[in-house]
Amino acid sequence: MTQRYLLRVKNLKIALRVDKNFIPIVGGVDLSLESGKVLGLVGESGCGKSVTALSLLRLLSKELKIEDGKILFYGQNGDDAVDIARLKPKGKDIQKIRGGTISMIFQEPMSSFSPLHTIGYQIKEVIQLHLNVSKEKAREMTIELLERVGIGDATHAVDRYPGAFSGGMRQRAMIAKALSCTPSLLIADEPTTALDVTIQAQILKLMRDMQQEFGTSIIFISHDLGVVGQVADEVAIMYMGYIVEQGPTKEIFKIPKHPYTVNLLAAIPRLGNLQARKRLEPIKGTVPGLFSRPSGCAFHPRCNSFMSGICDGAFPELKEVSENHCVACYLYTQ
Amino acid sequence: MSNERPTDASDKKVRRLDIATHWQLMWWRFRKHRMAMSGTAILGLFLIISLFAEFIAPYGSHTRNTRYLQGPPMGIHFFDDHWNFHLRPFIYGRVNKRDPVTYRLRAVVDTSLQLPLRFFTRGETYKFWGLFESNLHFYGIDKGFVNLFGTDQLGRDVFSRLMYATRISLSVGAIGVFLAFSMGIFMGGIAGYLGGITDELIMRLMEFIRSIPTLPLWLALAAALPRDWSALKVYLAVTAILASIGWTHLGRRVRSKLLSLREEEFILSARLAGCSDARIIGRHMLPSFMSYLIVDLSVSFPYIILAETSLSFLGLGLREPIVSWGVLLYSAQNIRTLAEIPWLLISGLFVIIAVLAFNFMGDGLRDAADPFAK
Amino acid sequence: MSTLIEVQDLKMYFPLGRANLFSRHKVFLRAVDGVSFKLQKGETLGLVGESGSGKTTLGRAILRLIEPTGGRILFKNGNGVTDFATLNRSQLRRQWRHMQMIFQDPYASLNPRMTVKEIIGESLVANRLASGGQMDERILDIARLCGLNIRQLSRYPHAFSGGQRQRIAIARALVMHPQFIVCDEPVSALDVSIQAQILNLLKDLQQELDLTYLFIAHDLSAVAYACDRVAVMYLGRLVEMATTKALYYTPRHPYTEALMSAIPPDDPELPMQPVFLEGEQPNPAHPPSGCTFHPRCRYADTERCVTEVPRFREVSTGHLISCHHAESLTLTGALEHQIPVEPEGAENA
Repeated sequence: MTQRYLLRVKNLKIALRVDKNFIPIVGGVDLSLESGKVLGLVGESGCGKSVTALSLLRLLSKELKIEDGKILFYGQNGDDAVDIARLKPKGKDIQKIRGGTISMIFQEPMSSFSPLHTIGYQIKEVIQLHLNVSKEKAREMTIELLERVGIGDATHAVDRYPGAFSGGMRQRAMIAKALSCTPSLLIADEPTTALDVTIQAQILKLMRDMQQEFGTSIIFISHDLGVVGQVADEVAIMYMGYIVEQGPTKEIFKIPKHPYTVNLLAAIPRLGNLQARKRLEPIKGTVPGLFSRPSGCAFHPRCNSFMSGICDGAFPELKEVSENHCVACYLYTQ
Repeated sequence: MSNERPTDASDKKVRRLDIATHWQLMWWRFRKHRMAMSGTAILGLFLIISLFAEFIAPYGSHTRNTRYLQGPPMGIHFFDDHWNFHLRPFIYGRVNKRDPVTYRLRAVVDTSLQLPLRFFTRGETYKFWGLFESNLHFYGIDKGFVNLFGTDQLGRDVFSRLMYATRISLSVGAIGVFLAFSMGIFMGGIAGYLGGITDELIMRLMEFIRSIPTLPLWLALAAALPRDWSALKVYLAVTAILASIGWTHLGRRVRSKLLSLREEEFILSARLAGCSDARIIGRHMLPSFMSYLIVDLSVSFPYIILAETSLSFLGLGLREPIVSWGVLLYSAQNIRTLAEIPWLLISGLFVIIAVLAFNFMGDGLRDAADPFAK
Repeated sequence: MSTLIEVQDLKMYFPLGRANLFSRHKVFLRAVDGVSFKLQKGETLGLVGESGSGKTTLGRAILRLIEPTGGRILFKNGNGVTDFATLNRSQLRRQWRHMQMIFQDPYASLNPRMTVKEIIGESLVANRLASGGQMDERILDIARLCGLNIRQLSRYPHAFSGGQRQRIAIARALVMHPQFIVCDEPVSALDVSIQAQILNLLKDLQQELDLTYLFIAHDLSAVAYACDRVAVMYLGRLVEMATTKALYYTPRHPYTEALMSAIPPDDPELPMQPVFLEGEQPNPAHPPSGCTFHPRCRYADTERCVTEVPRFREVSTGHLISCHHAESLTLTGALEHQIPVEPEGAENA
């Protein structure tokens, strides 16, 4: 049976406009997320993944503008979709969505909480904004949430300040806050990057458990392929503002198609290779700066399968090469 | 999507960013700040006035004109009574008439006497900075007298006195700031870099000085100056007094900046490279917050100027025959004088403009000195 | 293989004041609490641990960038053994030409107001080792070796990317031909595709210039790639040290086991089975008694582990560990779940 789509992003284009300069950041992104699934969005710094995520909630700073495209969010009722790209960034509609139906967690747990208010206050604030409950009920819900995410002694923790919590605890609290109104979509922007590896394992497990329990769909953004491999059902690889490959996690890891994905997998130290004493194969060159975007396929200067005249012409479209597996590469579209 | 061409690396401006030095980047950012640029322009004007005071002022600061006592400012006209346009601006002459009620001589405007302003004209002789003689003035008048800002009760031209006062006030500010800065950087520097006992001692000294109430301290020090000292000695002493308190503010900030810089990785690398302490401070630390110092400088200047103005206004700082803005305001203490010669307050206006200009420039500098975007 | 550096009982305590107003006992933050190990010439020793373990502090203390509270740092300098810890300031400055450091943040470790050429050549100038043409030659040589474009040496750091800046930092560290380099998280701040470049560069330079590395990192996979031996730190103490294979494949300390099990496997189909540690990282100012790991260890007993500090001792050749139950524990390693993955698309790349 076909799964329902929760979010469909079509041809999203975001550009940076500052001082009469016009710089495309996201060049035409297509994403689709099925209800209840986890989509991993992988890319290195500057690829536009965070910008894409922020645009879903219209949280972009004023220099970044959505130039074109649709962000269709279907919500719980199934068929009628709201185009988030058309909503007013400061309007009431998007404010209702933020925290209520779509919420977000960030990389730095310290900077996501105000140090001047208790954890409990900040979570209750979200609950009371979106749900019509009394103060006492909100407090009850908060304590329950904190327990659910594994913060022991929740009845006391709720009145403590963020400064008293460790990094892992704060991240749990942030997850509690994000899930407080049972959103249908959770955007997680590098949620475990700043955490120790043992805490990271705990948080990943927590997120998987919460996802099972609440049925939330997740967009999990990270530069760490290994981490994404553990949580995501589908993975989309981004490079310089474009999705270059998207498909089921298994396939992306086992049968990567796009040269960037293949090279990325070969360039990351992986324990399995330790046995084989394999040398890492770095991707030659560096990610071009914002002002030096290559023509056509942005990866072509660093690609070993570069075909002159074709790859530097127009940007290749994202084409499906096997079930649910799409690539944007001329090697597959002949 | 629009067909705009994205900004490209081949754009000259982008290429220049690559090889620009820190100072160039700062200057480019500063240039965009309009208020800062206008503040700087005004200060530039003040600088010219300070340098060329003798040339710009038509009269000396003590030249008395007995025919025009307490005279209001003379307006510059381009159109005469009959609405004829004259290219060369002119002023109306004044003749003395006896007031029928008070029997006092008063200067009255005589519209029949049109005295054109002459530029680059010969006038009173002066010694340019005490070095060489000249009598070339920026503007002047053939016959009669021109007092654009009026005269005081002794008939001295307020405009000319203001020009000389600008030089004195700004130079007191400059010397004071220079002294305060040198002391502050030196003391704060060794406190921050060496730490330990040195730091403790210097910090306590700074706190001690700052805990003394400033105004009474100034007054006490200034009042302690012997009354028979020459004006020049008083001038230097006043500057030294102002600096001796001002350095503590900067010293404390330099110290804390150095303390935090000490742990920066590029400083650690410099230590590992074998650099001596002197080289680290001079080559690595100081340049790193030079821009911060410059901002501080532009903000400290007005404080010293205001301090000097206040002291002189109270009669405890500079005194006649030296004229500074504060000295000019001294005569405005008297309510009666103020009522009769309100144009003496123009020097207060100069103070306000100078302080504002420094603040605007400081704002621009502060914005421009932001560290490189990562 | 000869020992290049031997660290004996190195301590780094930061005073925090008194326990309370009335106590006479001062409270210390024991960032490094008695660490001893030997570093062989030409090897890369990895140092891993989570935040608060003290690994960065240890790296800086070995070089005396911060003053150790106690211990000896014996450096075999060709003409005898020098105790680094006893040198005075000017001797230290001269000795630093043999030991250098590469920092984590390529943006903070280069003076933004100096050109790249000046940055690399600074140690030559400061130590009066070369000048003029000779200096230029040495700078160009090392820059080329590190993969820098020698025509860009007169630019300022802000014109370079993160990876290139790290190359500049490496060139700066190597221009005096040191023997020992402490690499403090050298690739953590870089993009994933660039990390491989720098890791390979470090390996090649080690071969070429006969360098010895102390490789401090928190990324366990990168450490596995780069290092011959690895040491694990917890709360200021070494808990385990062994060859990379032995540590990852057959860890003997419960903390190491927890670390290894938390590494996401290469194959996404293999579920992670992490060993979850109880509780939180203790406050380094008030470490637990006995074995500092005992409150979080699932194998801890309630007597010896709570009262007695375990010694850091050899349980099998080259495998050191500090645990009372080292002999009786069988722990799972990371590699049991790792299967070398050969992506099928590799021919296209």
